[in-house]
Amino acid sequence: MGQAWKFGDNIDTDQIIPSQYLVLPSIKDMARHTMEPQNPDFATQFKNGDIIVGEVNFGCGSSREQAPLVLKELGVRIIIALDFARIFFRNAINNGILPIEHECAKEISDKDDIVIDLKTGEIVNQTTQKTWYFNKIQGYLADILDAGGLAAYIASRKGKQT
Amino acid sequence: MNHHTLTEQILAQASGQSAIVPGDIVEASVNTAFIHDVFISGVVEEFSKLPHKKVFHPDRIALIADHEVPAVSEWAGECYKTMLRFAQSQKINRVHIAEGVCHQLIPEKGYVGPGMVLVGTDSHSTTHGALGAFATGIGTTEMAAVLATGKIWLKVPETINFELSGTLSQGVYAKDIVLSMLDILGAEGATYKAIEITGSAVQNLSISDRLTICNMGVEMGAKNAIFAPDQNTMDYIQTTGAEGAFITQVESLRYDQTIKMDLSQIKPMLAFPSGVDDIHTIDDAIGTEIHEAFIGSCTNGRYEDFVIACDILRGKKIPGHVRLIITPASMSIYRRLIQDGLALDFIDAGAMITNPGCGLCYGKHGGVLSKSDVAIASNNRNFPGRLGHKDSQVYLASPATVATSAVHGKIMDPRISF
Repeated sequence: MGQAWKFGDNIDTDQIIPSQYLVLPSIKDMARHTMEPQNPDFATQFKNGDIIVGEVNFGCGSSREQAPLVLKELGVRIIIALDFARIFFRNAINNGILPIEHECAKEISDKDDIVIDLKTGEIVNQTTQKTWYFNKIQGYLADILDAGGLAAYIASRKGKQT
Repeated sequence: MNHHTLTEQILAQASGQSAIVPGDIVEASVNTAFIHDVFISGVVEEFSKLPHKKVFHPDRIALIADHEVPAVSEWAGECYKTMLRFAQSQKINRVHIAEGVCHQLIPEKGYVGPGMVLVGTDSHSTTHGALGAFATGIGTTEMAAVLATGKIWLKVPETINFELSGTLSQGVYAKDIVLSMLDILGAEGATYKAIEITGSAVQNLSISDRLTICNMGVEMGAKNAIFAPDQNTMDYIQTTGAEGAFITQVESLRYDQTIKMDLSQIKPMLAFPSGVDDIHTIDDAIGTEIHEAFIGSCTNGRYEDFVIACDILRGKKIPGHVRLIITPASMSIYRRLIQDGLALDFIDAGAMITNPGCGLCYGKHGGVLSKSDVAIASNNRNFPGRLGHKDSQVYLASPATVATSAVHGKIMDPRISF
């Protein structure tokens, strides 16, 4: 179970991690500035298991992979949005973060308590007692997520080939 | 009869399949992969974690330093070194440091041609669809995987067709076309879709125009944007030495949506602060005071753009409170501006000319905006903080609108210059 951190439309990668922090020596250092333009307290208050909820076009803008990486560093494993910008969607999967596209994003408010069951595809908003189901990612993409990301998946596949 | 869209044709060919439909996941072979300086360290680090010791094909990889040139931090200098070390160890010869923006160099150097699959670690990689390629941006982990395997997983997109007819009025340009497209689709209207530009007006669009339009495809959320190769394309790639498999546009394509646009109806357009899809005609902003004007970037930093701007600025002086920044997209463009006398005209008008590269569009150098600054710029993004302080205001416009506004110290209709 985790708390929802609710954001609006068109949260671009400059909002997730502003470009001036890309020069910092590590993802750990960058992560301290995650979502800073939106919420300066985000990085210090986000708890492992909390869930980010966006609306339209989450992750638009630059292809910078530091965006999902700083989120992952803080413990983000799932993001729910009405829809995702394409590059961010891919980068999230490639780094083992599950992007869930679902209409329920409209009905989740900041600080709602959310429970997600990855086996059944159930999303429960315990604050409002509403339940939804999402279509689980299948096939090749599911294999990447199961492996923990694209690098791990390719390494495992190479191992099988040789 | 073949009903495949251009994007479907290319992806079918690249994945060795005869028939694919939108929604299919394919593994496509990559013809060109490029990495820029900001992401080189991440790519090299991820590549080092993979069991592959060598890249799939050194001659299909380009490494380009363009974002932080000259180095604006010690980190940037280290990125150049990483790039050069990786190039040397992997025998990659396509290395360009401080020669210009990746999206200008890729076509100039002949690294892209019709029918190719191209990926780059930059969201504006959609630019290269102008030459009839499938071109899209990817992240660092994905690029490491491409370097290792030469392949990429892609979801076959549905296609939105913009069918262009008519002729642009004087003072209206390709940037106004793409801003009009954004007005129709919004910032997410083409998410995970291809944009294919067709119609009788296409033959009158130069390669420079097409690069501008495809460049901003990603601002509509598009996976890629593409023009069918025609005589203009073939003439261009003959000068660059690019290879390419000719692909043809066919009738009865299964477009998800067709949007007809009459170019004669388009006015000079602006994207208002702070959203690429907050689109207005010039009339809504006339008289807005500006502090900075920027002409450059991978969207509008080409020679043709500077000719248009220079024709407006020549013999005039910009007001003292305005900073006009000119950033050529490549060294060859810069050289031409000098040879043809345009550089001197810009300087005489009061402009600053910077070295070729991403410049201000990267938001860390080359004219960074302060808190209360209002700017008009020819680049592709105006998110809060994109060009400097998060409270600065940026209007996106064509080079003609930027130049006209710079001369007057306030946003003005470029048509008054003709």
